Amino acid sequence: MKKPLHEQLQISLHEINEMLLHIIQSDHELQRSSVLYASVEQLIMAGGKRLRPIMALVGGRFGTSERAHLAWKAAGLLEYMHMASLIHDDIIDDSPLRRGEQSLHAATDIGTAVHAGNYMIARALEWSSEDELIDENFYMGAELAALITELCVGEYDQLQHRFDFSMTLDEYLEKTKRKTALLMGACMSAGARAAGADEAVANKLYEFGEALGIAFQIHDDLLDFTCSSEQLGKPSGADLRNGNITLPIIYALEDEELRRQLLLLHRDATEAQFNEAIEAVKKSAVLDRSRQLAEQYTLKAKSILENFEGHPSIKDLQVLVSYFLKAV
Amino acid sequence: MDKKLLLDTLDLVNELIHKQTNIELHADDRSLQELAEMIGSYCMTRSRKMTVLSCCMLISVGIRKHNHLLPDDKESLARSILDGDYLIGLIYRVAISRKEQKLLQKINPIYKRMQLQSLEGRGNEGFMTELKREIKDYLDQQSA
Repeated sequence: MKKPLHEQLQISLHEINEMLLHIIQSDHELQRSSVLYASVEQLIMAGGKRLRPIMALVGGRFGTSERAHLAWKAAGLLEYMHMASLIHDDIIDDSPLRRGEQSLHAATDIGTAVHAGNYMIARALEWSSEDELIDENFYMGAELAALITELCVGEYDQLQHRFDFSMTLDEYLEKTKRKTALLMGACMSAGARAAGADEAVANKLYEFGEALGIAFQIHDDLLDFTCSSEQLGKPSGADLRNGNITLPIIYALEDEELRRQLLLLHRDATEAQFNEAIEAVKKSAVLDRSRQLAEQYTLKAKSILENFEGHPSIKDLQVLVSYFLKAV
Repeated sequence: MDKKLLLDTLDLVNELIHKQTNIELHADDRSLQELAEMIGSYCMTRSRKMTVLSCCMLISVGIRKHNHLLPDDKESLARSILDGDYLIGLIYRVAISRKEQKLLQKINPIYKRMQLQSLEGRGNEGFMTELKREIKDYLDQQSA
């Protein structure tokens, strides 16, 4: 059996988690007895694949060894931004579970969860510029924090197109770039920039991460149909029930019979109508077709590798490509 | 009072806001008018004054969006959360693109502390006063 991704890349998940904890532990304005501290700590301890910080650290390997440790700052900030966005997304999607545990707003309340997400980004930005190269790191961190606007536009897009079965493939890809792929591209390039890589290298790494990010989102779309609630740690079929138009749905709408069933759905449709539509999509060929598009984007990322011929860390990018190919 | 500074900045911010968000800011906030008056009194380019005031506007409205959530109205709740997130994110974008990152180093800690205060159940009444004090400090340093 193949080793997990972090082991293949010789990255310690324990060290990443320690760094994430350190971000709150080193905030002298945050009381350890507070609900916020306990909530963020629990969120970190709940684990996860830590794909984003791993990608930032791999990006950092394209810089200089003297500055490699600065990629950790980018990795910490980006993972906090990701965790904060999940907290707010769970409220927006009215999702009671996250990785099998109660989501933060369900465990506390909506106001607490909103402020906790805000705190996490502000604190991570503050932390990323502590100790050394204060101005330079703050500038880099603020540039990353500015990406929130793009993530939000992706979310507005999703919100405005709930149960909008006229969404095209191009519109879906544009939304996916903003909502998911942009942050993954930024992980690769920010790690590289922090570690002092050339701008051209950082830009190519962005393209690489963005392509993998689209493949990742399509894979996530598929999980909604292929996994049980227990496996997902959240309700299965939640995307469709929330009216989020994902890639399998766009493909399903091309089939006359599936289209007829899907067009019956709206926010007040019955549980039986949703279940019937989900089962019909599962039995159709659209899941395989979606897998093929995810594979195409992973192969697009692979084609970018030729720009890094001869670089000792190209093998790490190959590991990422293999991981995403296997995942889809 | 330089009312034109406030109105021009408002136009600038509304132009910067992505159309898909449907957010439109208004100049009906007394504390923003006071900030505009203070910023307007400094000797610096009009463009810089507008950048500083833009960031104050965005943080003020962004915070208000997150402080007025309606949990029972899902649509409005989602919009308020996104609006607040977007407006706060836009502060970083505006300050970085206009080379005022040092201003962010002043604003970010106040914003963080305000989140902590909200989580402790304390009100944010002092926020605009603290923001005004930090902005004054920043402008004093910049124009020294």
